[in-house]
Amino acid sequence: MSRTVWIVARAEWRLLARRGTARAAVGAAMAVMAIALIVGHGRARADAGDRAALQAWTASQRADLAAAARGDVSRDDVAVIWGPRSTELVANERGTYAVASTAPLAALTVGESDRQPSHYRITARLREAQLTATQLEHPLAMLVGHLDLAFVVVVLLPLSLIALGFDMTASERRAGTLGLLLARPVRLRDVVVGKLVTRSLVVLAMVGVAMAGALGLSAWSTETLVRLSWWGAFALAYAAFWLGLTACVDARGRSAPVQALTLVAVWLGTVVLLPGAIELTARVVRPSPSGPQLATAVRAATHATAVETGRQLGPFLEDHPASGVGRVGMQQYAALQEAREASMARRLRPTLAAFETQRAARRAFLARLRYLSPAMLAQFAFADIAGTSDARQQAFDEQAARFQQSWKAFFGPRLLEARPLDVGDYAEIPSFTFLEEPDGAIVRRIALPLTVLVCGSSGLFVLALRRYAAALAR
Amino acid sequence: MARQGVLWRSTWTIARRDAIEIWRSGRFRWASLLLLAILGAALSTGWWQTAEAARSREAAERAERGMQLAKGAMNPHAAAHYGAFVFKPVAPLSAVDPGLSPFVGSSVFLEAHVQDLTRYQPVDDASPFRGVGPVTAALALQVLVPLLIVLATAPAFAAEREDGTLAQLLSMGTSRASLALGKAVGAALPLAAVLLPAMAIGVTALVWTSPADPPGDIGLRAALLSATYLVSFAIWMALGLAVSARSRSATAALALSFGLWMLAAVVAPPVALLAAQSVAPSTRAGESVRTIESARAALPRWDRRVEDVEERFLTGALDLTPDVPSNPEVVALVEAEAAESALYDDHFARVFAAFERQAAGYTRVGMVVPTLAVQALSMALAGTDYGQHHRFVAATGDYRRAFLGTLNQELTSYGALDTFDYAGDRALWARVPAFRYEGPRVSAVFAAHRATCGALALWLVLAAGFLVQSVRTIRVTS
Repeated sequence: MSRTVWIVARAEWRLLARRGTARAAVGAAMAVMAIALIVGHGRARADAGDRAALQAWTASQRADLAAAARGDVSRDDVAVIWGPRSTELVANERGTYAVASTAPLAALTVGESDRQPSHYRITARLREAQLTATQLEHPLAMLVGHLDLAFVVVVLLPLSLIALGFDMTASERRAGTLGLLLARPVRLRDVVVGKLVTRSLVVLAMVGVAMAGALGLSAWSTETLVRLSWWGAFALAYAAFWLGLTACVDARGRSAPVQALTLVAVWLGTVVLLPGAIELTARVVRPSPSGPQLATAVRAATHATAVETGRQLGPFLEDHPASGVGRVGMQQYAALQEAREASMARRLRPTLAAFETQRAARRAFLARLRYLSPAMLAQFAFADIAGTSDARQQAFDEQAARFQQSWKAFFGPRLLEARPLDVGDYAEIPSFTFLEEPDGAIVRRIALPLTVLVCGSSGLFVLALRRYAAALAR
Repeated sequence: MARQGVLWRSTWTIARRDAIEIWRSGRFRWASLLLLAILGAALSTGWWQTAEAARSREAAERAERGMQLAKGAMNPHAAAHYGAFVFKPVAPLSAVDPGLSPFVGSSVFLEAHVQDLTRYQPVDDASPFRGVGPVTAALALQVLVPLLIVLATAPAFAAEREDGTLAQLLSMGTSRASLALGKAVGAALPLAAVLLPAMAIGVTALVWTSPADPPGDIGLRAALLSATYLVSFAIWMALGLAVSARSRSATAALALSFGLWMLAAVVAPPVALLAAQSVAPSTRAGESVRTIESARAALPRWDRRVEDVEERFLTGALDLTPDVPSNPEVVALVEAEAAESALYDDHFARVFAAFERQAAGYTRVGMVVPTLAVQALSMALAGTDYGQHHRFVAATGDYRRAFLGTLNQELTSYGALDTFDYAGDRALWARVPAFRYEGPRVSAVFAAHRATCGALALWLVLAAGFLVQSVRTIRVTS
């Protein structure tokens, strides 16, 4: 790189430092980033605390039951049915909870975590019915979104970069000072590269400070460091896209206000309109499955099952193994329950599968079209890296489903035989541990988006430099 | 008289010239076209979705009622577990402003012993990309139109000052009042030419295509909704013009008004939510599980409950009015049901209280930021805000109590020892009425949002005052 580049870069740095708009743009962005980081960190910490408390509570529940079972000396059938050694009580009444840990970088990206269940209630009953959980987030949050670092980087940072770059050469060209400069043995290319270098360094510093802040706030671990590096790399690639775009517009050599307006229009298109158009298209082409339709299907299944089982045994046994039923009654009850669930599962399966397929098709559609808008690409990638995307949730769903199967495998036979739990059994009751996705999975998921973004940004820089050369030739 | 005539004439001259200038600018035309396209697309998909939702809801409701009646012979308690699905009516104006409706679920499942928040939430409608929010007609009217307005009004005074024509204009004896008015009308005319026909068509189409029996006063709602948006446009126009009058250059005016727009439309909503949530934090998911489960575990075991009833029966502690059945298990069941209901009621009351406080906090911030006030009013008039959702959920709770009450009463009045062998039939199922819900009248909605309306009116007055003051003290030369 020639000396000119560094001279220009240094001069540009002094200019930018004195320019009010530049200082305001960078200052405001940094301030909002800091707020977003602190707020996000608080939110993530509270969430982690809540999950840890639920895990601890689940463990203590089990310990209490085991202790009570050790102390339980009753040989009476009824006492066993209702006491701490009751399989029904431990397996279904109390059940357990599969709790996922907080996503590694939840502090940086809320992503979809605000509507993903943090836990599932696990019992030995029908899996489909168990996998409903409520996330208690205000619906307003779904509408207006959260103030997190991803929002700041995706939506606000481009405006700072536009403020830094919309007048890279426009005014100088108008005033003729650029021509004067080029009368000296200086290449236009070096001048432009110098100006871009300064701005790139500013961006690098902004992202670097944000990542350092995030690292400082979170608990230190290699995993955090790796993920933060990817997050920062993606943020830089996204910022580079906007710098390249700004340079392209500036190279056209219009007046500064016109360039500013053009860039704002591009921002609006990329960040608001294009994602909106994609979403509108998805709404029509790949609509969300209908809630009332699902409700009707679920109802049809429960109706048929209720009518069927109602005929088979005294209706109350369905829900309340009464105090007088004894062990034989319990066996009947368990068999009935098992039949009922199998029938329900059989009836629900096609509906739920169709529901899931439609949901997956919608997601796949959105995921394909995200390449059209860098803002969407970045938002998805940030969630992927942070662990707040749908992919990690699916991994959790699968783990929870597997765990439910092992829970059922453990309790199922005991329930069918109405066999109470022995004290020794308590140690063998399966427990759930969430396994974090390996880093490799994340890298695979973001490799293509990152490559596309980097290539796109490089392309924009090349295009910008060519345009500058063409502008000079005119 | 003559003086006034001159005043009007000069006002009109300024207005006409500005209007023509804005109208002829290619940028304005493109932006308007784009805006109209977005508005059209959002409105038609919104309308389509609303119609689809209404259809699917109606079919589901009919199917549910049919199955409720065709349960056949079933014990009333089993029927209580069979439960009831109730569906939320579709607000006709949700085509304009879906508000929170995509995120709150459309049906509630009511059952004995347990309660659920609205189940099967179609939160998949929440796009993984949040950004500024889903593109709806409401977003176009709340976010995009104000942007068009500030961009169109930014050069109004500042560009004239830069060109030197402002001094000329004032030296010809044009009064400040006619200058301010002329500029306002000049900016309003082209915008009105774009927006008014669009709004008229939209409102007519909505009222025309709304179901034959619309819940409440849809025409009045549509009119008030339009009025709200017109007021907000007026506020933005006054602000944009005032900023233009006070700015050094057209570029500065552009930057400043764009900044204002950014703060109000993009930054304010998440910040307001953050503020509201830090004042009244939501119940956390794990915490609510622990609360409910601990309380449930603390309830007496079924066998103990029955024993307890028997004991009270023997000691005479049980009130033996004729209504009370002789079967201790039924008494235990009714008591257990009441205890568990109370537990869930308590819990959900807390959850909803926090949500209410958050919604209220968000609205309170809206007093300071006009875009949020407009958002709140728009959702309220469309019937898609939190308050009206809460009202629906409360109605389902009442229905649940009535529904279980009827069934339990049937059990207790049966009175035989083998109560659980008793089976109800179609006549009993028909005695439980179908769930009917009617949204609040527009007057009630209005009353609930008096403060927001007042704030918006105040904003209009302040913005107009700011404009007048800015024009009065306008600098003539740059």
